[in-house]
Amino acid sequence: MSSSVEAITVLSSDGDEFKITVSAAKLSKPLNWMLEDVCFSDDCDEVPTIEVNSKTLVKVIEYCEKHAPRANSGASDSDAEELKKWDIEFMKMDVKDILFHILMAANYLHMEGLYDLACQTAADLMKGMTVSQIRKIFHIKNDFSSEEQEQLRRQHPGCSFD
Amino acid sequence: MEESNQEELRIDEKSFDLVPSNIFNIHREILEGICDRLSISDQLQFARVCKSCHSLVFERHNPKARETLSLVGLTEDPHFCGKRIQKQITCYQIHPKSFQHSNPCIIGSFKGWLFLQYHKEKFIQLVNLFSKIHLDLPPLDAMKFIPSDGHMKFIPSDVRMKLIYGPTMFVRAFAVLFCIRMRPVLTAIVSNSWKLLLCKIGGSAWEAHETDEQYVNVAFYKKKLYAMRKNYNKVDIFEIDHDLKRIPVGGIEIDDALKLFPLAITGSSQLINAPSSWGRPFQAYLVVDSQEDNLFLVMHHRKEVKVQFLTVEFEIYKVYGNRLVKVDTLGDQIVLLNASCSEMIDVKDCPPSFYFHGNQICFKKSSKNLGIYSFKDGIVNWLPQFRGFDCIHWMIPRLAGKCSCESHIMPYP
Repeated sequence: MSSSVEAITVLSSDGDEFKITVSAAKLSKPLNWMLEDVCFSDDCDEVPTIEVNSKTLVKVIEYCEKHAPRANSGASDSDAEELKKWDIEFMKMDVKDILFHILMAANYLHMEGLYDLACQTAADLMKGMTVSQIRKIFHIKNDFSSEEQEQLRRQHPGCSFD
Repeated sequence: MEESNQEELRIDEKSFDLVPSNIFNIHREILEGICDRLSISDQLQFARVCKSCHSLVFERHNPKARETLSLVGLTEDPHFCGKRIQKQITCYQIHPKSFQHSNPCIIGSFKGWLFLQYHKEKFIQLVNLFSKIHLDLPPLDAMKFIPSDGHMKFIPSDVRMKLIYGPTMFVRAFAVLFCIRMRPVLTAIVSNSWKLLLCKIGGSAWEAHETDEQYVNVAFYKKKLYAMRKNYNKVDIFEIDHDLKRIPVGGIEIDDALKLFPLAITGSSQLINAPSSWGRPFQAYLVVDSQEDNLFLVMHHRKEVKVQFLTVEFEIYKVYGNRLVKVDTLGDQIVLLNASCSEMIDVKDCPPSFYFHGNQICFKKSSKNLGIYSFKDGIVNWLPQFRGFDCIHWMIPRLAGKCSCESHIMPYP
């Protein structure tokens, strides 16, 4: 890759083009491999397609751009703390409705930090939910027989320490 | 309260508008990742949703739970039984009568399992309190054992009392090999006479090591058994065959003790006394990290004041093949250092808590004195004493998976 290139263009699964800085793209292992293998330059017309929809990709790029400086050069404790607060807001305010798409994108793009964050956010949303709430939210049909349900209730009436 | 009413109170359903119409279309690996980040009680709720959810909770590889690093122990006082937050530490206090036999003694905790020895009946069990599983191990044969004064010093005080009145053989250290779903497959122990014994889960007898070699602690790492010799000069490495025969496959020499453990011999300050009846003023423990990628040797240096050993500092050595290399930081890892069995956890897997930030060692000086050593500043944060709480051990709660794999028949997964 030409060292003069600071940003590359990527294509979403919807066909929209997005710019991402090279340092931010490096947070994704597949994009990083691509950067190492393909000669990107100003006159290069190769645009990698990312199998992530535009709405999700915008958020993924936002995450990458925010985390890239720390990932590339390290950060002080206060920077790390500030980044942690930003992560919480990022997940709380912006991406709740596309959380599962973010999760799949982070998995597909091999982005460990975003994957951990999205998994924890999904787990936090399920925290304290009852069985029927989980069924309703996630459109899950109960396929236990009444005997099996009774058996489960006996085996695990809930955590015995709660 | 009815579940449907609770729903109206708490759930903002708009938050889930774009949840996939069938979450089981999402890669199982992702759903397992979410499961690992749920607490044990939330996992148990999730398991009751449908058969696929049940399978996710109980049939995934290396199941974890988002639980706080805790203390577990026994209490006779019914008012203190159960899960409680004491002095900003989560404590699981269990009444001895909660167990299947009388006079239980918690020998240690490892990956959410308790290793129990019942002194009256001489039974041994592995117990997962959260999955409510009790696995019986064969009792250790009664053996006449009259401890010398020197030996008595090695015995934890809570065990020592029981030794005087009850059993003649006890477990000094243990290691458990798990299958991929965290069901115990094989266990190794160091007996009170420093002997190495092995037993398959479901086996009828303990297999003794043929040699006269004596050991202090053991760990399974990458399907091999690592055993620290009693004189701390070598860690023996064994492969275990299907008949539980130990095949030596190498060792880590620690004979250059002056070079490797300068603090142990010369002391980091003039305060360190020459060892008395102990071979050296330190103890060493084998510990495997949370990803099971690395084996470490933790050195606990001590100084002797009258009859007590006070903590001086810790050192950690990483095992590379048959070499030991000192490391200065544990990163996000925390060592739960129990005399009988130690483990490492990643602080990122736990909810935020007052005491635990990573790069620390949680240890026990005596049955009541617990400390948290930080590598960042080299300072020990001593916890206030927990009254009426016996056989205390550091623990990280985990569920056990369901498994009928061949690992439970064959020694290795």
